[in-house]
Amino acid sequence: MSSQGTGRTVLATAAVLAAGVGALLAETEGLRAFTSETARRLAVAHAPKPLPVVPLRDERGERIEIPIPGRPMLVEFIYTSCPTLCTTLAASFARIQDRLAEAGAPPALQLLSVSFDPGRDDPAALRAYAEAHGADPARWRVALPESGADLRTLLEAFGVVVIPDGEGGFVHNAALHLVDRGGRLAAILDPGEIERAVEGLGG
Amino acid sequence: MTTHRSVADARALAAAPLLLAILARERLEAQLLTHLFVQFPLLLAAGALLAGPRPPARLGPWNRGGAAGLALAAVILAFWMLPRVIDASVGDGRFAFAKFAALPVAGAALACCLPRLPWLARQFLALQTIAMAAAVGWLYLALPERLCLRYLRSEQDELGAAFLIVAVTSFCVWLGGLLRVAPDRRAIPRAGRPFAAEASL
Repeated sequence: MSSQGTGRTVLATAAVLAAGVGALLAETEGLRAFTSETARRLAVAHAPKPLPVVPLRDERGERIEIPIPGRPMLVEFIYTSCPTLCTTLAASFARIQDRLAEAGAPPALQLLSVSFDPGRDDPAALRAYAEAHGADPARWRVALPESGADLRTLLEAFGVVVIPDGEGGFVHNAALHLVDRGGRLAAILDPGEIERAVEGLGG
Repeated sequence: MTTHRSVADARALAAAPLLLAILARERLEAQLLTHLFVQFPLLLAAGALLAGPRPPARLGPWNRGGAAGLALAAVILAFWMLPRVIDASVGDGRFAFAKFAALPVAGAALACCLPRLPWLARQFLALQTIAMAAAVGWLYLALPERLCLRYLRSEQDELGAAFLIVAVTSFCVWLGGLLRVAPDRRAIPRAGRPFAAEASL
């Protein structure tokens, strides 16, 4: 009776642990993704994610819809009064813009900075941001989703989480989002991965 | 009679932490520290009060010394402390619901299985848990990246420091308890016998 009870307990404990390890392995993509950021990067690398069509208004007041069929693009999320991360993202876009021009890539809108701060980022603020970072409107636009619902759709589709930093600004996951010709989110790159980004754009 | 009443009272009492955890959800989840150090314990406490100190008798042969129940609690706690799961429990309704169901189960398992664990194994588990809390605290403080997208880096630091404080305090309490028990030589071998608590089942 006693050894039978011990055997059952060992069996039950082993089953619980096996189920637990299984859940942990599944939720961490085989111990590779403990954070949401790593998980979203792995997920799109494994299977590019189709994106919804979302309308935006750029720094010149022109309407843009992304994704643009047949055109690979890089999308980054910013707010123009951001003193830190967004500056790094803008610097990356500036370098990528230069690289595309040097490579002789035909001028086409392939770089899009999307603001998630409709409260402060009016067209004038978007224009000032574009000018400050040397954006060539033929290749790089700075835009705001047309409505709050469009903004939420876009953030959710790209897996970007924006939270208040407690000092009037925001904290967000900063990355270069590569959208492929098929309008799918195909890769999420660090701001420093210039070569991969240019390669992804076909430059 | 009295025991039945006190168990019933404890079960009624379980509603309080559960309700508090649900009603104050937004406020508790607004900060990483209150999410893990207030909401989690409230849900564990609700489960513990609901279950009471005795596991269902029919589970006895499958849960000698409380081993299976404690494994279940460990697995649930480890899962819900993964940074991406913490994020999901704030942003995804399905995960939020699952958290409010799973953590009370872990609390129930802890309440009814910990007293059944042999003394020596309990000491080992206590040390293991303290070491884990210290390691998690150190990780939260030392890793340069922001682990949870829904929380600030400064909140991660607060949580790391809280884990370290809890680990050090728990270690002192554990050591104090050990020193108090040690002079009573009869206590150790009696409670230390494997599955001694089973005798009461």
